[in-house]
Amino acid sequence: MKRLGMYLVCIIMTAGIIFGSQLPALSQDAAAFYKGKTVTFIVPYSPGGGYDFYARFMAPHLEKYTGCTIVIKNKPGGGGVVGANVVYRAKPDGRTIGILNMTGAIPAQIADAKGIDFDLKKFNWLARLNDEPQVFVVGAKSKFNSWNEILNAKETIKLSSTGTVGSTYLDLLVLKLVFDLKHFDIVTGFSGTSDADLSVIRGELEGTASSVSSKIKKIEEGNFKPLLVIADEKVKGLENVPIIYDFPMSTEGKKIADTYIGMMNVARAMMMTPGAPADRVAFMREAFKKTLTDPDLVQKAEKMDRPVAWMDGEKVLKFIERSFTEAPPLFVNELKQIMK
Amino acid sequence: MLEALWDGLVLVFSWPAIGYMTVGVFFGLFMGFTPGIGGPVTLALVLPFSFSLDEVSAVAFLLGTHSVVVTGGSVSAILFGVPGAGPNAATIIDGFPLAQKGEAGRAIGAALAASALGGVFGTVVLACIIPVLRPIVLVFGPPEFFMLAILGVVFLATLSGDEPLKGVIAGLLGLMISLIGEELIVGTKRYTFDTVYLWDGIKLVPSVIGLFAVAEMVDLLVRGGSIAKPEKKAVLTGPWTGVMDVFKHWGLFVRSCILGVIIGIIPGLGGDVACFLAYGQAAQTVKKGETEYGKGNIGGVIAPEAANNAKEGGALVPTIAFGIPGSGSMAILLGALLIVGITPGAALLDEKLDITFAMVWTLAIANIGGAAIMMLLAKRLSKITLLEGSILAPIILSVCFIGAYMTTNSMGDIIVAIVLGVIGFMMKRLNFSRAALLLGLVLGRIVEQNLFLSIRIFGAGFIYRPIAMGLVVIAVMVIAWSFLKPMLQRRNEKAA
Amino acid sequence: MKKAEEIGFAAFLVIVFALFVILGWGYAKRPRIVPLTLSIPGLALSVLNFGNSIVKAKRAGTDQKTKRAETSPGGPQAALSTENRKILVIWTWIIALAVGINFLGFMIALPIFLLAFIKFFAKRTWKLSTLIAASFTLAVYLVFYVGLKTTL
Repeated sequence: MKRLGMYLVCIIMTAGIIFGSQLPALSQDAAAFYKGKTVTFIVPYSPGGGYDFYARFMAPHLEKYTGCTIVIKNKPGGGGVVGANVVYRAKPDGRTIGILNMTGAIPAQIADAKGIDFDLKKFNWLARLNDEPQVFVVGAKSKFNSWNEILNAKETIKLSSTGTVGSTYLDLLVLKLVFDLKHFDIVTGFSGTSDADLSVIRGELEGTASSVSSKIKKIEEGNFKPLLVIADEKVKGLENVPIIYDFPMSTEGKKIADTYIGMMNVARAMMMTPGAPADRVAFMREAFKKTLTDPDLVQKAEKMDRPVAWMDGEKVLKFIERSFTEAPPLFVNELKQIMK
Repeated sequence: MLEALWDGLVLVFSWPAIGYMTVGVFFGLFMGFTPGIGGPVTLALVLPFSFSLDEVSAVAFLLGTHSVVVTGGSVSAILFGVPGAGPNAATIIDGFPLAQKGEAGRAIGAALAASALGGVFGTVVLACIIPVLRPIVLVFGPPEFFMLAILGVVFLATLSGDEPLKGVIAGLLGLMISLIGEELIVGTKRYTFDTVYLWDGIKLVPSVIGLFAVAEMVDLLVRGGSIAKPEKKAVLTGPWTGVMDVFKHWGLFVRSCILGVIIGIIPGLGGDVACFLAYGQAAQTVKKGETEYGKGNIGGVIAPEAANNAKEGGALVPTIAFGIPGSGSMAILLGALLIVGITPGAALLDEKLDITFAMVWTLAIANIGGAAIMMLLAKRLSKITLLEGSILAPIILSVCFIGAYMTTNSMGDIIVAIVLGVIGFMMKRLNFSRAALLLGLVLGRIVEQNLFLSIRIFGAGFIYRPIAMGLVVIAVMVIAWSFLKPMLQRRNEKAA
Repeated sequence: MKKAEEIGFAAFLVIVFALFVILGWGYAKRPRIVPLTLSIPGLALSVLNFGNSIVKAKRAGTDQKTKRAETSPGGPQAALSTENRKILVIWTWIIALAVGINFLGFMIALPIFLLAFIKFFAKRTWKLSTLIAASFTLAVYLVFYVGLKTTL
């Protein structure tokens, strides 16, 4: 009986080797390729920023799972355009990867902005780093206590925002378009979300919007009142705050909301040069999966309010393609206005 | 309160925290000395190592590293005219001419003493105002930023030396260069010629490298000899003379520290502004018979260095009080604090006051320690200025290009350094004030941005806000003084 | 010769400010307010400066004529033109380095530049120039590639 079992195991193993050899053999090639080589990880933003942090945070894990040395290279400029161009034009040998802010890149490509040499649909997408639900907040002393009060307000509501290409401005613009809020007055020109936030805390302006992860601590501290979450489902930590779909909107408005939230679902993602060998793409996808599902990394990231939520590269591409086909003309025109 | 103060000190001096702080200080000094690598990059590099440390060690390690980067950078600014870190840019204006006079040792000594004492000053102020942090941070908005920047522009006038027309032209050129790139109000890309590199504007570090380092190296090669002019070879003054200089210019030092702390406390103006405002303020108060600013006045080294390190004490304030970082480095620090379990905000001031004071102590101790280490090296390093120029210059030019390139890892940075190098070289030969251009470059964008924000938020009446109005009064007084001073001097001469 | 430089740079400034004004004029209402308020006075002042430099050059020219009659001709003139040639040569070296960095990268361009410069411009021995080029490149490699794990 024991012997029979041994035979069985042997047969199954041999069968496994014969039938399964196709795929593992390929990724073994890729593993051999990456071993001891250096891979350049392009960060299209300055050292010290969020994207730079994530890249440096992931690098040791990626090295562990791939056997290669990761060299992080900052290529800031044009809100990510410079770095994305570099990854796009690199030699397609799989040794150049990058990270990108999709809520900046997708609108830029939709609007056909200047300086873009890349096509987001052609990158080899490796993984999603996280989604980035957004939240609309008002100052702690604001007289507004709910999104309905904002919707029905009679007076002009002044809101603070970074430059017109920042995600803060896009958030506010989307809200304005979706709910047709003529009384929204968006004050642009703050250097960063911190400065825009401070203006609201000082009470100069009524409210602002940006990613939940950047706001949650300030909300808990009592600096802000969260009124609306821009996402398709409730967000952890803000369970009592309504989401954008809880309120009536026009069909056109719904399309805009759908497109924007689609982009938000793949807010930060990693990619590889187009035309890289398929086995190396698959190998890197696997490495990112292992990295981003490593419980130790996920827990540390959570602690720092730098959430990680892995999604496969293939799926990322689906989301990107969708946002190009779904974007309604009104939204496209507005984006063209900003990106001109 | 006092108990927490003591507990904080004990925490910092406990093992292994003190060991990590020492390692951090050495690393920070080295990174600062290496051109082009500023505070944020240095912190980003050491960040991963802090994850596994305990609270106090992580704080000691990161703050220790961070607080001495600029101290190290001041040495390369003085010796080669290459800013080690962004905030050292202002130090070059008078530091390098001092090195040329054979007084590199003295300049380094003054820079180190000013930055160490400035750091302690900032720290003490921080410790004193911890209980009333919040309201102080909240009184400064765009109108106040606007007026602070305008005050800086007013200082431009006095940087012009004996040819005011050329000085004002240089200042206006700097202001215009700062406007290159995408503006934030409606997103127009100005003067970019469809070049993506120019969208983000002309960066400070490659500009300073061009204006000063490249220009000076060309000058050195044309002139022949060494950086320190040969006739002064005998008087390579020691660093201790420089330390004494700080005490001789005590008033200037304190004024610069106060400016630094204020700018550190209010997030949104950026660190470079502190140094340049302090420099402008120093040049404003130049006494008769002193060396002109820009030609090697020791005050031009003391002011920006004191302001910068005092500022870092101040910059911890918004970081601790609101979790809103006062500078790029503070943003990284914030992330590191969170991962080791320190959450900035009110809790840090109530429950973990000892940790807060441990941070304060780390700042103070690292500042003094970093300066002491560099003091030991100062005399040896200053001998570099006696090396043969035709061998030293190509090496420094190579370092210049590496430093410039590190800004955005792009050829654009090198092109900026060369173009501004040519302009700087011509300006030097024809007696245009490069300091004025630099001040304009730092302030232009800030003036415009806060002007529009102020008008959008408060309307044209923004200027009547109390602090803004106070700054208007100071600006008017500065202008009036620059007219009155020559008149008074003339009258005194007549009387005498 | 310095007079020619003075006039040349003054003209350059006029052109730069004129460009700032002309391009600034084309921007929308809000983005052009600040550039125009700064560049128009800049243009006016740089024109004034240009005028100054010409007046000064003329005055100096007449002075020089009277002086030259007394001193031996050619002496200082020749010295100045060698200085100018030297300046041009140095800038050519610098631009060559930048071009080299662009096409060859730092790690190849830097040692070649240092070697060539110290050998041919500073006129030192091959031994010294090789030593400096090699040790500097090694230092750069150790700091950036090994220490900081980054590439140039």
